[in-house]
Amino acid sequence: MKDYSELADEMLGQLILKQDKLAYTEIYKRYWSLLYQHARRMLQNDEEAKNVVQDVFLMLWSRAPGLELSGSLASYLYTAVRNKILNIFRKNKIANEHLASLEAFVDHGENITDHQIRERELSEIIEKEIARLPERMQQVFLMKRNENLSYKEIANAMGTTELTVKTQMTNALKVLRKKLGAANFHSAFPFL
Amino acid sequence: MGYNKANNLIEKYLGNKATLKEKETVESWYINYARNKEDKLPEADYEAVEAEVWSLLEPKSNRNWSWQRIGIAASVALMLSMGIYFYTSRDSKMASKAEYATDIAPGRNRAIIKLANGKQIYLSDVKSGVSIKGKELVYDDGSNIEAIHAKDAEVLTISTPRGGQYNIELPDGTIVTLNAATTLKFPSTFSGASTRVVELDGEGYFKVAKDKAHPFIVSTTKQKVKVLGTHFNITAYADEPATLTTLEEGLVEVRSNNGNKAALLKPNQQSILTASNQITVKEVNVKEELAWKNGLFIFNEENLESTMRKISRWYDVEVYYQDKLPPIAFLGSISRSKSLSTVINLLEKSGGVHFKIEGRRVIVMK
Repeated sequence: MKDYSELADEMLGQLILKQDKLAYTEIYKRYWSLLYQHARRMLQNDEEAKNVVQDVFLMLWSRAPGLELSGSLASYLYTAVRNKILNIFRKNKIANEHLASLEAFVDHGENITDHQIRERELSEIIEKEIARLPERMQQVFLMKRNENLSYKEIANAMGTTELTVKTQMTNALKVLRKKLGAANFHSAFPFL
Repeated sequence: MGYNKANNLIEKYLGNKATLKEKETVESWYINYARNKEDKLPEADYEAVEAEVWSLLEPKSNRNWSWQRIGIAASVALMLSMGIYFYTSRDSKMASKAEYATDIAPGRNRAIIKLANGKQIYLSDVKSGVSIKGKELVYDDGSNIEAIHAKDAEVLTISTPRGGQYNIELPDGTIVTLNAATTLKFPSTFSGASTRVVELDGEGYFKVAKDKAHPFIVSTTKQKVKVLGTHFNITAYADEPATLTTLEEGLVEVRSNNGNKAALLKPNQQSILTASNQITVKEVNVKEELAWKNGLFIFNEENLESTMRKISRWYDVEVYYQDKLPPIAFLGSISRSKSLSTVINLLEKSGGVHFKIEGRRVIVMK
């Protein structure tokens, strides 16, 4: 494997559970700018935004072995960044405009009752931060995530031919099952 | 100053102590607030920040390296070996290359409650659960549906259609998630009875409220499952060859109605009761078995027929086998919120099988 940058989010999500360092690097490359930009806009403070991003990624790494990615990797990161931001809102004794807004919402706002819609809205808001980023970072994010790879793409990423990938991979599973044994197989691939 | 109310709300939310309503409020507010928040800061030096933050994060230890190599090769192998890709919930934008004339939407929250007097109530599809609180029927967000007017324990029936799913909280606090094409009968109150008995036809995931003095019994056509307070899943569809009981937590006893065979299950075990009334117990991956409840199809070497039965129930389609096919097994997982064409498209990629959608019928071909 030459390059993790070709991997889809879902695969990175699986690899990070095993504390795969390259997967972690790739997730950072892909997402840090979006998360940073969002935290920065919400907090209006460079240092705090940096801390938020750092905390989110530290948490991802340190909790990776027991992590339950019930949704997508992106969704996990977005929720994590929002919670870190909420925590700063709460602690900040001076800039009370956030809490004031929440209190007003409690009294007059309208809840979105469907949790899936809430999750989608949050993703949308954070992904829109992309428009505020320099072009280079936009590309990293847009091109690399969520791609489901074809044999051909995998072959390109691995520097081999499509046919080789097909034939090699067809047998690889059986070999692995034997090697790992059925019990290990599941703990190694908790998504299956 | 002050804002104790808001402060406490966030604190509860972050501490996972918020009620469903409070959770909704905080999340809805954040969406609203974030949407309108202005950015007044000048553009950052992104390159510098990227490097600075990473320098603090970069893991130094390399000890798992060889294992990771196996990991990635294996993951790629898994993805490719059967040609099934792993979709995330947001891949719908990457629209599947559906070559199907028609497409069919996935199942959703749908159910009907039948009261003892025969009255039927169609439950809202924007809610996901319903609850019996005393003599009232309420949605899980607290909104009222109607009074049941039961004098004593009356039998209530909740049914999900094909393509439906719903949660119900029974009078004792037990929560049942009903998969598609499932019926659950239960009394309007358990009080006065020595056991808590419900009847299931189809598939349900039970989180039984603990009450050691009153065992909870799930009765199906072929078996009875007796528990004190545990989490388990029962699959008892008439069109499935076996009745499956999978235990996630606690301890349950499974007893066949015919022949009085019994098995005691421990967590991560599944009992299989066959048509000939034999019970076998095996170790399973509970996550896989409960995937449906978490919005996923997971096929782990699942044969074509079994796969198609699941699809048929969730998409409310009839399956017609046009050609005789050699045995095929599928490996992979996909969200149950995808349209039918997306799912069968993936299955097709494993090779050896093709599908055609005609109306509400899926035709299986060579």
